[in-house]
Amino acid sequence: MNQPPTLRLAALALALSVAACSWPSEGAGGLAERDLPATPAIEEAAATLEKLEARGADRFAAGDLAEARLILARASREQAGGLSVAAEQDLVRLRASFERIERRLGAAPPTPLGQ
Amino acid sequence: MTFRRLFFLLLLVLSVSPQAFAAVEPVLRVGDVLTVSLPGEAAFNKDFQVDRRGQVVLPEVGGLKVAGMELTEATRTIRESLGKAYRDLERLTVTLKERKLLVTVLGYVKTPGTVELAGDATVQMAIGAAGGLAQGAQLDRFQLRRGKEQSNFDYKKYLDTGDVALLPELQPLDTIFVPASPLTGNVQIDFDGRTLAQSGDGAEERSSIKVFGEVNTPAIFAFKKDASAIDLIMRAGGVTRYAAVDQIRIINQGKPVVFNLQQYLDSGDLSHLPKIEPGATLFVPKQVEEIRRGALTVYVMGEVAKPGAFEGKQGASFIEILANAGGPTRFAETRQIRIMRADGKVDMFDLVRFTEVAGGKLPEVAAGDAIFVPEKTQSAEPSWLKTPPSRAVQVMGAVVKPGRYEWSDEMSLFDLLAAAGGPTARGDIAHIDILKSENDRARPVRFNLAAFMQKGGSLASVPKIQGGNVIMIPELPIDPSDNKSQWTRQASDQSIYVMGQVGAPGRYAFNSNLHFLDIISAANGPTGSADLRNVRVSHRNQAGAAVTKVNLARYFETGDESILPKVKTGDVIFVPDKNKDWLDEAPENTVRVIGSVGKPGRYRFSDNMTILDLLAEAGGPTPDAYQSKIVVVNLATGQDQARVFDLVSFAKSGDVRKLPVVRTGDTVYVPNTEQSEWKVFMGGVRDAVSILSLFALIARI
Repeated sequence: MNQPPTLRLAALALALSVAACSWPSEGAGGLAERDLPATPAIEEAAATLEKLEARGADRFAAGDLAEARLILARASREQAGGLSVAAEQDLVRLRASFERIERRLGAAPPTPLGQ
Repeated sequence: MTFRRLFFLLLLVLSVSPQAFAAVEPVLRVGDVLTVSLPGEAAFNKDFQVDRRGQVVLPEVGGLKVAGMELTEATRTIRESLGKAYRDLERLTVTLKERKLLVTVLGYVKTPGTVELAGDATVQMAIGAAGGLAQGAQLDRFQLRRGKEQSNFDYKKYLDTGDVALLPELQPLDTIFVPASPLTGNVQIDFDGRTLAQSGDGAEERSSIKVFGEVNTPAIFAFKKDASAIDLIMRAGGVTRYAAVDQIRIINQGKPVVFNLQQYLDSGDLSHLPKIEPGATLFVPKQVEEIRRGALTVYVMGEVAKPGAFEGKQGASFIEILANAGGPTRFAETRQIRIMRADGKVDMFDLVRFTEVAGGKLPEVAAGDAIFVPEKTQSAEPSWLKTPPSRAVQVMGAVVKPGRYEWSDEMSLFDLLAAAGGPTARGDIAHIDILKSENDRARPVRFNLAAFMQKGGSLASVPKIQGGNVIMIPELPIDPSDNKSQWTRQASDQSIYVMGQVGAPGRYAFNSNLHFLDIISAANGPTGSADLRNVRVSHRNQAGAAVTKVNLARYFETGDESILPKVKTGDVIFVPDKNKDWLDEAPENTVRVIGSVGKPGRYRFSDNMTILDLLAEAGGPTPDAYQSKIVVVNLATGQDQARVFDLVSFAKSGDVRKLPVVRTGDTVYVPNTEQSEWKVFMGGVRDAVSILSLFALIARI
C-alpha cells in the first residue's frame, strides 16, 4: 500500500484517459418496420393500413397510402430507436393520413388508433 | 279739234265786230298752202307752200319769208317783192288755200319720216301717215319733241278712252317719237306681236308686276290699281296643271306672302286674297309630284309594289295599309320595316318574325306616319351601309368569316358563330369576348364556349346578343414557347406561368379545363435536373398566399391523381433544380453525413431508406474510417440522443436490428481510426508513461 505517489498519479492519468473516450450506446431500430416487435399502437396502425390497402387504397389513394407507409415506417423506427415522443407525433400524422385515405375511399373514418 | 272750235268761235266773234275782223286773220306757218294768182302770168295760178324755212318760193323773186305773218301782211310782202319783177300786180291775189302740218314721226313706226298732214291732224293721223306702229312699240310713253322741248304722253290711254285731250296738239315741225317696249330686248328680231303681248305690258320696271312660275304665259304686267292676284294669274294665262295653287308666293313691297288659291276658291273669302302692290312679284311654284297631305294620310315608301300616300281610315291596321300598297316586293327587307312617326320617332317592325316566329302585336299606324320598307341587303352587296348599326353585330378574331352580320334578336350566339363560319382551329373559344353596348357605354362579357360545349348548361347562361354588340374570338398563341412576340394578345388572367426546370418555361394560355399535367407537358415536361419531389405551385388570384408542394416523383410512382394540384389561371408552377444552392435546402429535409466518408455533405433522405443507403450515397467510409463507431445523432423534441452503429459488426452478422434510426434532420458522423478506443487508450498510456517518466526523473533529482 506504500505505493509511491507517482505510480498512483500514473494510474489516475491512465484511468482518466480511458474514461475520456467513452462511446454512446449502440443504436437500433433502423429497419424496425421489418421484423422488430412493435408496440400495440404501431401494430394497430399497421393493421389499419393493411385494411385500407385491402379496400383498394393502393388504387384509389395510392399517393396517400405511400405517404402513410413512410410515416408508419418512421414511427416504427423511432419507437424502436428510443424516440418514443417523435413516434407518437408521427402516429398522429399517420392518423390524419388514414382519414384522408378513408375520405377518398368514401368510407367511414377508421377507428382511432391505440384504442 | 279744240283749235278748230276756237277758230270758229273767233270767226263768230269777228263777224259780230267788224273792227276786230282784220285782227283774226290766220297767221301763216310752215306747211300752209297759198294760192298766188296773177292773171296772165303762167308762172302763177298755182299753189305755193310755206316751206320748212317759212318761205314761199315765187317765180322770179325766189324765197320770201311769210311764216308768222298774217295773210294780209304776207300779201303785201309778196306784192312788194313781185313788184320788182312784174309791173302789173293789181290783180294779184293771195289766198290761204289750205293749211298742212309737216310732222316727223320717228321710232317704232313702220315708215318713219316726215309726213304731211291736214292742218288739224292729230297724233293718230300722224302715226297712220307714217305707216302705223311697228310691233314692239311702247304705247304709253310716246314722246313729242317741239324745238328743244320734249314731253311724253300716254297714247294707250287715248286709245283706251278716245279722249283727244290726252293727245298733244300738233304743230308744224313737231317730232313724234314712238319708243320701243323694254320687252323687245336689246337685239332686233322680228317676232310675233301676239307673243309680245303675252309677255306682258309692263314698261315701268319699278311698278310693273312680275308673274312667273307655273302659269301659262309668265309675263311682266303694268300695275293696275285694284287688280287682284287672280286678275294677274288670269292675264298670265292661268296656272298650269303642275301649279301648286295652295303655295302661290307673292312678294309685296319686299314682304313675301303665301297665297292659297285653293283655300280662296274653296271658301270664297276675300280675306284670303292678298292685295297686289306696285312692283309685286307673283310666283306660282310647281307642285311636287304626288305630295299629298291630309288629316288621315299615311305614307308607304320603299320596296312595296305601289309606294305612295294613302288616305287611311281611322283604325286601319298596319297589314291593311301594307296590303293597299301592294305588299312588299321580293327585294324588300321585311325584317327591318320602319315606321316613322309623325312626331319624329322611328319604330322598327320585323314582319318575318311576326309571321314566322313570335306573332304578337302589329304596330299601330296613325295618320301622318310613314312606313318605310327598305331594300334587302344582298350577300354580295358591296355596300355594308344598308344595315344600320343597331341591326348589325361585328364578329372579329379567329372565325372563318369575320365581319359585320345582320342581326335579329331571336337568333343566338351560336347562330351568329355559325354564320361567321365558326371559329378557326386557332380560335380560343374558351374566352369569347362580347362587348355589349348600352346607353353609350360598352360592357365586356366573357363566355366560355368550350366549357358550354362540353358540359352544357342553362341556355340562359349563353350571353344574349343584341344589335350593335361586338364579338371577339381571340386566337391561341401559335407557339407557346415562343409567344413573346404575341404575349400582349394574351390576357394575364388567361395565362399560367411555368418556370424552372422544364423544357420550355414561359407564359401559357390556360383555361379551367386544362390540367396540371397539360401545362407541364405543354412546357415540354421536366428536364433531367428537375427536382420532381419539390415542385411548387403558387396559387395567385386568391386571398392570401398559398403554395402547394407537389411530389411529382410520388405521382410517377403511385399514379395517384390526387397528388397533382388543381391549377388555375394566374398560378405559377416552379420546378426547382436538383442541384440547388445548399442554402435552399432546409436542414430538416436532409441528413448531414460528416467525417470519414467519400463525399461528406447533406443528403436527402426518405423514411424507406436506412443508414446503409446514406453511407453508400455519401461514397462509403474511407479506409481510415472507424467503422465500428459510426455515430448517429437523432434530433427529436425533448429526446435528442446519440447512438453508435457498428458497421463492421453489422457486416459480419447482417442483423438489421443493429441498424440505428436515421431520419431527416439527423447527423451521421463517421470517425476515423485515430479516434478508436485502443488508439485513444494507447495515446493515453503513452502520455501517462511520459508523465511518469517525468515524475521519476523529478523524483530522482
